[in-house]
Amino acid sequence: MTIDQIRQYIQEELLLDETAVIEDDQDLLLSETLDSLSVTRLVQHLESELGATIPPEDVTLENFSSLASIHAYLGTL
Amino acid sequence: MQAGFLVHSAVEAWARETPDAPAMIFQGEAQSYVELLAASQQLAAALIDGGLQRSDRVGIFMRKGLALGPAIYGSLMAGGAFVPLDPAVPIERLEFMLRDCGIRHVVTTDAMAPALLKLGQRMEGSDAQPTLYGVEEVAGFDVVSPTDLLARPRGLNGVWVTDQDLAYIMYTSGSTGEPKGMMHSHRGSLSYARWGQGHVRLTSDDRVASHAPLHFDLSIFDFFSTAQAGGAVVLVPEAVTKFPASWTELLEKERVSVVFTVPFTLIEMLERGALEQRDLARLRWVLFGGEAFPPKHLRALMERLPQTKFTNVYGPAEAPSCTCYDVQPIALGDETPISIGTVSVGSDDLILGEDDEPVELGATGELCIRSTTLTLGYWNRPELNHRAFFTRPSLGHFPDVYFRTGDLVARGEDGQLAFLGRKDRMVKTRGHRVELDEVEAALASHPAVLEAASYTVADGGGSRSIFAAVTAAVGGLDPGALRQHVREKLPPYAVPREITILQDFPRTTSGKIDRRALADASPSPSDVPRP
Repeated sequence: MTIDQIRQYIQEELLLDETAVIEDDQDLLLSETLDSLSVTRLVQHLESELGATIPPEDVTLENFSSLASIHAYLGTL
Repeated sequence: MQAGFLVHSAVEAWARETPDAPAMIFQGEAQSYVELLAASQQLAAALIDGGLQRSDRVGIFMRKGLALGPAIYGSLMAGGAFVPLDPAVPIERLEFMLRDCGIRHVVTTDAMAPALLKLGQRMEGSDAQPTLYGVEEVAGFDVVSPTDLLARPRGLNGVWVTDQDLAYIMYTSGSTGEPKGMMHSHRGSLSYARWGQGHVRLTSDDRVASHAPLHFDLSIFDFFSTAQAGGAVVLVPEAVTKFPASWTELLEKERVSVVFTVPFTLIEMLERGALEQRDLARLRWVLFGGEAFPPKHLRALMERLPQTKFTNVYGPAEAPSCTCYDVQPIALGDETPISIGTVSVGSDDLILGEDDEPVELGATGELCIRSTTLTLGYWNRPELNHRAFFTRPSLGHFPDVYFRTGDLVARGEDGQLAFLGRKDRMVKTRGHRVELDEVEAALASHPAVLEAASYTVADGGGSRSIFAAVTAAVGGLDPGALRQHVREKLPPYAVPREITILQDFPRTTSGKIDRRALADASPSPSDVPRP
C-alpha cells in the first residue's frame, strides 16, 4: 500500500473530507486527525486491504503516529 | 504530614517534608513537590497581580503535561476556583463556558494557540476576553508569558480562603443542550480526595496514572487523593489513551500502581492491550466508574490480573464516589450486574419513590445522596438547582440536602445497592415499561458481543421503538444467534426492533457511548413501511 492510498482512505472514509491536508510526517493524534474510533477502523481497513492480521501489540502510538510511520510499519509485515 | 483544610495544603506540606519526591511525571520527566509548589506560587502571584479575587474562576485550557499541576494548584493558592476546559472542545462551547461563569483568567500553553486564535477572532472587541497565562503571544489577548511567570516571587501573602470556598467548577459534556457547571468547594474536594486515599490506602510510594481528562471528575481522585499521600501522578498523554497497547506499555514502564478509569478503557486493554506481553505486577488497584462494567469482561480482566484489586466506584459528578463496591470473584457465566455497593464514609442515602417518600427495603426507587463530597449546586442555574435537590427539615436552621441522582436502585437483604438504570432510561413502548439498561445487559451477555447500546426512536405512531447497536468481540458475530439469545432473556416487547452491528460506537469526550448520536443516526421507523 502506498502512502497516498492510506492518506486517501483517511480523507475520504474517516474525515469525510477529500480536501483535508495531511502531510506525510504530520502527527495524526496531536493534530486530532484521528481519534480512537477511527484508529480501529483504519486498522480494520488496512487488514482487509493487505489480507494480513495486524497484531494488537503492534497498534501503538509509534507505529500509527503519522502516514510515514504507518507506511514504514506496513513494510515490516 | 500536617493535614490542612484546603485542597492545596497537601502540596505545601509535602514540599516541606519530601521536597524532591516526584509529584507529577510526564513522558519520563518528573516534577518534584518543591518544583510544583514553586511554579504554582509563581502562577498564583501572577493571577493576583492580574486582579484575581477570591472565588474568581480560572480556566485551565491545555493538554496533559507538566504545566497542568501548577495550573491547578496555582489557581487554588491564589484563592481562585479552577474550571477545566476540554482542549478538544468546539470553540462555541468554549466561549459559552468562559461567558457562563465569567472566566477572566485562562492558564494555557503554546500548543493551544491555534484554538485560542479562533477564540480571539470570535470574541474580538468583547469586554469578556480573558487574560492568558503561560503563552508567548496570541493575537487579540493580553498575555503573561512563561518567562514572566518564572520571574514572579514564590511566597504568597494575604490570600484568605476557607474550606467552604469554591475550588473548582466542572462542566458536563457530551449531551446536547447547554453545558452546566457544577460547583465544588475545597471541603467537598478534600473529602473526595481523602475518601480515595483511605479506601485505596495510598502512600508516597504509589504512582497513580491520570488517564481521564481533567474535565472528567475521575481526575480529582488522580490529582488530589495522590497529593494527600505524597505520591506521584503519572500523566497519560491523550494520544496514548487511544492505543491500548501503548497504554499498557506505559503502565508497565512507569510502574503504575493505581488506575481510576472507565470500563471501556479496561475492556479495550483486555481486547487489544497485548496484556500477555506485559508485566503489570505493580498494578495493585484498579478503580472504575462512569458506566456499568459487563461482568464477563470484568471477570476476564480479573483473571488476567490476579494480584490486582478492583473497585466499582459509583457517583455522579455532583456527588463523587458516594458509594463503592470492592469486586468479589465472579463465577463463570454469572451475569448479575456488578453491585454499586454501599454508601462511602461521609455519605448517606435515601431511596425515594415517585411520591418522594422512602421506599420499603428491596423496592426500586431513585437514589438520593447527602454527602461531604456534594456539589454546592450548578453555577447560575436556580431552576435546575431547585429540581436537582431534595431537602428535608433537620435539627437546626439548615435542612438536610440530598442530590437526586436520577439513578434507580434497590437495596438487597445484604444491604448492597443494585444499580437498575437511569430514571430517564425507563421508557414506554406501546404501553410496556422497558428498562433500556436491561436490554443492554441482555445483549452484552452474549459471548460474541463486545459492547451494547440501546435507545429509542419515535415509531411514527405516537410511541417509541427500541433499537440497539452492538460491537462484536474478536471473531465476529452472528446476528441471528444474537437475536435468539436476546429473545430468551427479554419479554417480547423489550426485544429491539433492530440490532445494528457497528465497528465502533460514537463516544462522548469522557469515553461513554453516545446513545443520543446513535438515535439521531437511526432511520426513523416511520420511514420504513409497516409490515
